[in-house]
Amino acid sequence: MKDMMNLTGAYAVNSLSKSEAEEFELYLKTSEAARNETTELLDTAVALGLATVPVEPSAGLKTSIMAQIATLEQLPALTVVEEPTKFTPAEMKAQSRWFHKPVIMATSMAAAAALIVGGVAVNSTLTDLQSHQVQESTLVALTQAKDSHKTSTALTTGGSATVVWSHDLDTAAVMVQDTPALPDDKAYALWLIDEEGQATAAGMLPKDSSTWSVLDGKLKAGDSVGVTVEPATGSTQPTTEPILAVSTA
Amino acid sequence: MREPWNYGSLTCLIERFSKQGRPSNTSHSVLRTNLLRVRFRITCMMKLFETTAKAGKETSLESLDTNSLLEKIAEGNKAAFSAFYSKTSGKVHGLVMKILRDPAQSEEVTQEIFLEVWQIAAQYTPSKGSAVSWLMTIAHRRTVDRVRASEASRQRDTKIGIRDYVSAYDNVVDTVDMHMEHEKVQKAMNRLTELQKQTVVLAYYGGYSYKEIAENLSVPVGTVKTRLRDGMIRLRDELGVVA
Repeated sequence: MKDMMNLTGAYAVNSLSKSEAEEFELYLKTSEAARNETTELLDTAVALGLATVPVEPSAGLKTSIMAQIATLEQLPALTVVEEPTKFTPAEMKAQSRWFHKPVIMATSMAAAAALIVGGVAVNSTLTDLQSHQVQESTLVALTQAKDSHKTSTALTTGGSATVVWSHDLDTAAVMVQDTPALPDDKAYALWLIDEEGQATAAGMLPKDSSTWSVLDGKLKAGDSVGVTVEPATGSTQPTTEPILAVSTA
Repeated sequence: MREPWNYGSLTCLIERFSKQGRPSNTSHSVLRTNLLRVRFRITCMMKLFETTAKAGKETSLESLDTNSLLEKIAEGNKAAFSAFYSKTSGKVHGLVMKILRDPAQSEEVTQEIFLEVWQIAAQYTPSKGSAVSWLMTIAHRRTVDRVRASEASRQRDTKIGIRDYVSAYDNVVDTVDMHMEHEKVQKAMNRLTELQKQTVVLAYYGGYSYKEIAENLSVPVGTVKTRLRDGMIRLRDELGVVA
């Protein structure tokens, strides 16, 4: 991965494309050396930023900003998944940065499009793919619902999953992180499992696992959300033991 | 400020002694004088308390450092946000202006940055570094996002654009009143090779992607990546940045 390591500088000065930056962040999870170096180079970049001559914005800008924050909802702190390993202080610092990406707000006008769940930001910028927008607006609604619930669980096969749901909206969404890569012909399948234990297919997780997937179908009272490993083409019923089952009751 | 309950009764007492005042009765007169003194002291203390309370309210937030202010912002404290903005908006806007150059667009982006600060302040923890570092990292990323979003209209893909930028930067460096941070960074910058310096400047202050830089300077992308990494590492060492 020498080539990825060579990207620390480009990443620190935001010279990578968005998709490259995301890929690099995934790589950071695997390399302590890269995490530490990137943290230091980001701090170096801050020094470059502070070296510019300060320019006071117009007085009207503050007035406008103060008026907007009066009604702008604040996002909750990220839930930190406990890491069992011991880290050096530098590592901790790097760690605390790398496992939570900052939110990129769409525009000030569409502030509600930004949200954070379980430690991962869902972006809604102009450059985002159209196809993600429906899911994202569902996610925004989901996390802001009055009865929004969220839980994170370690998966039996490694990695973790976060489930967020709302019965008011009859909707649930799942995201897995750090799960072992599956062979090409396998994929993670989502299920809605009713109180009788009857499973209904609710879609597949994308291969790029660190994104949210809204479950297909309506979440009913007493349903559980399950994940199994299935053929990539999908299954009508689970064919393996669930690696995740979360009750929404 | 409300009067303490005993202030009125004290005044009554004083007046009673004044009215009944018997010049011959020294004990009464001494008592009255003492009561007057007590009332005077209470008045003074009240005034003093009032002034310090007012002053305390106004200056306590101003005197907090940005880290503490950010923690208060996370609790929804708008006065803390106002103080934080006052302390940092010049730094942020200076950087945004440097990259975007267009004043109207820069104000928009500065606004977006501070609205984001308000929204995600709860994510800040001092273990991640200082509030200002956190802020400047967000600010740079946001500004570059804007550069990329408006790239199509900016048509920044000419060699002339990049070359102009490099020479313009050198001029700015030569003529602008250098403040302390600038001087320190400038010294560190001068320790880089010309090519490293050019690449770092284009990427950080120009908001150019390494691909744009490679295309326009006609060098392989791998070379640009390496220059950025080596250049930033050199700067880190010169500036003594440690994680």
